[in-house]
Amino acid sequence: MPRHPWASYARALTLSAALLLAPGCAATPTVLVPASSEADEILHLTWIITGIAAAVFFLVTGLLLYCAVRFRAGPDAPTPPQIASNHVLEFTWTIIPIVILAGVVVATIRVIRDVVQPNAAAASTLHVRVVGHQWWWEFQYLDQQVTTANEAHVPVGEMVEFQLDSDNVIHSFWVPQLFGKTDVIPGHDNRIYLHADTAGVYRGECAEFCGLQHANMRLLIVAEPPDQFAAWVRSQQGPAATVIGQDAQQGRDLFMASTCAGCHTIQGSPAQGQVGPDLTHLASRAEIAAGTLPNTSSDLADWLSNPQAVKPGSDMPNLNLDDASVAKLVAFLSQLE
Amino acid sequence: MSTSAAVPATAHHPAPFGWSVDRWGFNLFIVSEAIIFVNLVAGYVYLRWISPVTPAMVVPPRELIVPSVNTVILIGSGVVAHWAQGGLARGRRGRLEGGLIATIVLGVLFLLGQAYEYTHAPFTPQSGTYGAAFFTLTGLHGLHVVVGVCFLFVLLLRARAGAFSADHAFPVQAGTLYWHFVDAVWIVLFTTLYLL
Amino acid sequence: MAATAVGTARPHGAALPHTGLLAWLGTTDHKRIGILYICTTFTFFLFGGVEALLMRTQLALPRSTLLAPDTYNQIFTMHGTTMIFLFMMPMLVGLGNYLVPLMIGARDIAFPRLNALGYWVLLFGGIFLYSSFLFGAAPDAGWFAYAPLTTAPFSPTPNLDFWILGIELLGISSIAGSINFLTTIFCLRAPGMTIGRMPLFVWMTMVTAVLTLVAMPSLAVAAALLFLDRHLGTGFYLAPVGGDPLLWQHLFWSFGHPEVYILILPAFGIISEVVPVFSRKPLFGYYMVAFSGVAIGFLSFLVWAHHMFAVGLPVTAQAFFAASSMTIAVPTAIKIFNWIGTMWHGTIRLTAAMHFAIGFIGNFIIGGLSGVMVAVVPFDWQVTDSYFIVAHMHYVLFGGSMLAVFAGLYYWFPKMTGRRLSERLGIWHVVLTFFGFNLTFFPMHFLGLLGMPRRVYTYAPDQGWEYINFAETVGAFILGIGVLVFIVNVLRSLRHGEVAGPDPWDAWTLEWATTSPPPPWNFVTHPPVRSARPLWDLKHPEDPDWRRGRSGGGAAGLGQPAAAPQPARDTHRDESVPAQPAHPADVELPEQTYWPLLLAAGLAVAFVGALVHIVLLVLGLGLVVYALLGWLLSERPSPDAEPAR
Repeated sequence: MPRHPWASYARALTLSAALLLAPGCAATPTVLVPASSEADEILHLTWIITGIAAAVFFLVTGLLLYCAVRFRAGPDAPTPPQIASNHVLEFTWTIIPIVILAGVVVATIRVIRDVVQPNAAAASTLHVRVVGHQWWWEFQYLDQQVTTANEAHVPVGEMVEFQLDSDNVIHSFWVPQLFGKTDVIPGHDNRIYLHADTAGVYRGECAEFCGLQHANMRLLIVAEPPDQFAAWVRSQQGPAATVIGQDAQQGRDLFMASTCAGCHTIQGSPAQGQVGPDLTHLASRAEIAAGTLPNTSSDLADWLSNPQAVKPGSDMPNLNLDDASVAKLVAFLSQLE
Repeated sequence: MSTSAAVPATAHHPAPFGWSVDRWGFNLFIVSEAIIFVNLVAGYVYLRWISPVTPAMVVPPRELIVPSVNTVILIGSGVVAHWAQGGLARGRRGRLEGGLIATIVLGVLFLLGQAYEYTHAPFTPQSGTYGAAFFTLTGLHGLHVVVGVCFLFVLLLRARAGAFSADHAFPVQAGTLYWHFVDAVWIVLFTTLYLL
Repeated sequence: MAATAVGTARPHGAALPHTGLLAWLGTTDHKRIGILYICTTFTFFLFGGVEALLMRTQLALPRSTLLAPDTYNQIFTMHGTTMIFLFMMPMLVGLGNYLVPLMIGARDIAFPRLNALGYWVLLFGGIFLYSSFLFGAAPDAGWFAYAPLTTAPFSPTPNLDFWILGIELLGISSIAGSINFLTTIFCLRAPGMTIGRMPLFVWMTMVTAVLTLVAMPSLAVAAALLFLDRHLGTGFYLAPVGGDPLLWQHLFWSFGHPEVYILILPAFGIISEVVPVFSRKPLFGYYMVAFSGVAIGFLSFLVWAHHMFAVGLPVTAQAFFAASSMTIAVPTAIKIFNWIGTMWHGTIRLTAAMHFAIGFIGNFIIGGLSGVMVAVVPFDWQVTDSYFIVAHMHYVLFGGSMLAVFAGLYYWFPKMTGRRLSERLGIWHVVLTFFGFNLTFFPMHFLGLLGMPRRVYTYAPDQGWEYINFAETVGAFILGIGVLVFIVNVLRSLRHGEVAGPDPWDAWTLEWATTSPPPPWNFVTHPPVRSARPLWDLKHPEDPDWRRGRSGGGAAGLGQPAAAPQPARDTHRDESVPAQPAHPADVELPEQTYWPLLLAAGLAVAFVGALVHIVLLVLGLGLVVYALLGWLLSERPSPDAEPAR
């Protein structure tokens, strides 16, 4: 575990850069680059229906434009024959759409059957309870006793069950590279089963308007090889790192003495608040404030100085901290690997 | 072009079923009211039997005597209203007026029964979704009964003034149709809220 | 009004002034009410357009700080609410108001005072909704207002109360209007105009009115329950007490899906009027076009849960709704083929109206196809609630309904005002609209596939969305310029437009058989109706539709005409329309009465009272009762009112 604050800064920066700056490696929530067999099958279906739609469009619009051009005439043109029906033609152009659409229905049902596995629950090796808050994501690894926020690690290739809960409004859990979305609805026991076939970092979004900061309720799913995943779990299970350095220790004292401890939990400390995200291993995450900012010291300092400027309306209050206090808190939080 | 084939704009193609403008308008109004109740009942049915939400609706024990008596009263009033309207078709003003009075009395009795129910219910609109649905559904129905009683009362006054005859019967028909509608809604509400 | 062939004798019944503000405030003339609807709704369209441009400006750049999130959320909510409830729905009602009685050969709509009430309620409802901006409390939870976000714990301020009460007011207007339309169409058609000979616009208005009558109550109920939850402590939508947030969605979409067909069917009707006239051929497959409208109306009640594919419904249910949603594409496709069949071997006149009609067909195809795509459930799981859906809905609502509205306005403006719109400015309008619209909305399909959710006030710069968003903003402003061109065209043409006679387009339905604009009583007499094209029959006695059997038969197929081609005709057919009798002595003007205005005002005061203070509520209800009594105790306005049977 790195002990020097600069090392953790560098790690966060590298991870963020890898995520955000490297071409082709940025975690974008795209439907077009699937990382699971289900998302791949849905994309395949997408190309088929897009192809059909494009073909129909060009054919019909082509006919339309042909008519507009070919039969265009001036005011002296003769009145055309007043033909207004042709039963064979009408029958044909009724049947053809029915046949095409029937095929699409069949394809739809087939893909539903393929991607919704009835034994997914039994096949899941990992169970994560997801709580949608306004406006961040809480992840509770039920069997591993791990609680984290906005960034969930999963082992590559294994089915993970996400149990979607909300005690406030409706959200929607959407990681396009892995699967379609499922809404998070108070009172409903919705579950989504995801597995990532390749290692990588996958962007997720909240996809149901949930209030002021719906736009800034993003998440990351990090899929890694099983041994790395196990190491991550172990590091997340432990209590918060022991803090070294005077700044960091003063930051810790400040944290515990302020309202911070009333909202946030840092395991192994007096801070056991349940309102905001668990910060025990904050420094291990690539982003803060549900994907609003990368997790670097300067961004963290901006957030702490004036959260309402970064994410207006969020529950994180502006504590009117001076720069020195912010620096100390950043020094402390950056050590929480 | 000759205008001798021209058609006066006051002439009209026969309306479906031969209904007049007023009858069509009123019947369509009843349809829209009926659909309001259909939606409310569907909402109750959904919360009660279809929704998978936890916790589910809790249905409190329901006392049936007063609402059953009330149901009989209201259905009876519908029969009386029909009888009254028959009096108008036969030119029997006494039957019309007497029938309207009896309908109004029965309607008021029904409302008193509802008032008793409301003040003695062991649940409130805030005590759970059953209570919320119960008071919303029966409350809206009760409002319709009040309107119906007023409607019949106005008809009674006009009937006493000799405004109606077998040829000019539509307002009475509208009033009794409205009353039957209110009756039918109650039967649905009684079944879903009390019996099922 | 322009001098007409009718003469200037004033029929009796003209006690009150016919012009001026008071006349308009007390009018029950369906044409004036129609114009009031059209002008008022177009104003709301401009408000909605400004809201759109504000949103697009905010989204042109990532992490823009132009609009704060709460401002943005109010703007996107009001944009949707305005465009749907204050613009498109009532605009189509306004066009129907103006045209339906004329098209069926009637003097007025069945319940003229109820008609006026519908307009004033719309106006006051819209003002009520927009007044929320003055308090910084405009509705801010989206135009479909999902619970529990809209319940008291999560929306404690009055924003949603403005929405609920505004919607309930507008619902009263809509239901009153649909009762009026249906009664008019059923009871006041000209002799000989069977249902199978009505103009398609009347058919579609009829189906739309049925949909409105049956679907609006779902919204009224949903919103009323929400009001109870917010203020009386009930818990219909609150999970902790046994309620279900999905109840809102089921109720809302039971309204919401028929609603989108309410928004498009009259547009189909407009296109079905415009395309035949500017192709010089009857509508191909009249019966199929009519029946497909009925089929769409019926099916529209069976598809609502396709808005809910991501909520966790049982998979079997989702499959059912996928199938039903795709079924509804069939009658829609039929219409498109019939319109193309109408143009086939026709004589096409590319007026601005026809350009918009053709543009409608092309753009609506895209919207319809993207609609079929999102009926494919697994695809929808990816793109629902993303910009793909924003693309789809705008293609059908703007590329569809709006273009049809423009087509209709260009087509019927001469009838309403006696002057033509400028074709030159019209072509500019067409080009700017077509280019601006597609630049704004086509790329949104891609944004959705790239993962951009809807209803976001900003976005991060690292997702690859910036350039597309910027281009879309440019497109939106081009579209806005097109609207400005249209406004300039209207204002100039009202004064300086080429004077139009009764029948400037050589058209065939009854509204063209009277002057432009029509006299208050529409017709004293009109041509006999023996087919769906009474004026064609009148102008072509040697080849009338009724002799050709059904509305134009070519049983032998295309290319084999039943009658020989006609000699060349002039486009100006005014002189063939029979002159109305010069002194319609037996005609009454539509009544002027202020009870509908007063009743609407009472309702508005009562609804404000529901928001603000019970004293106002009581006052408002008192005014309602007073106006109602005055209304019911005063005389019926129309001489056409039959003794009730």
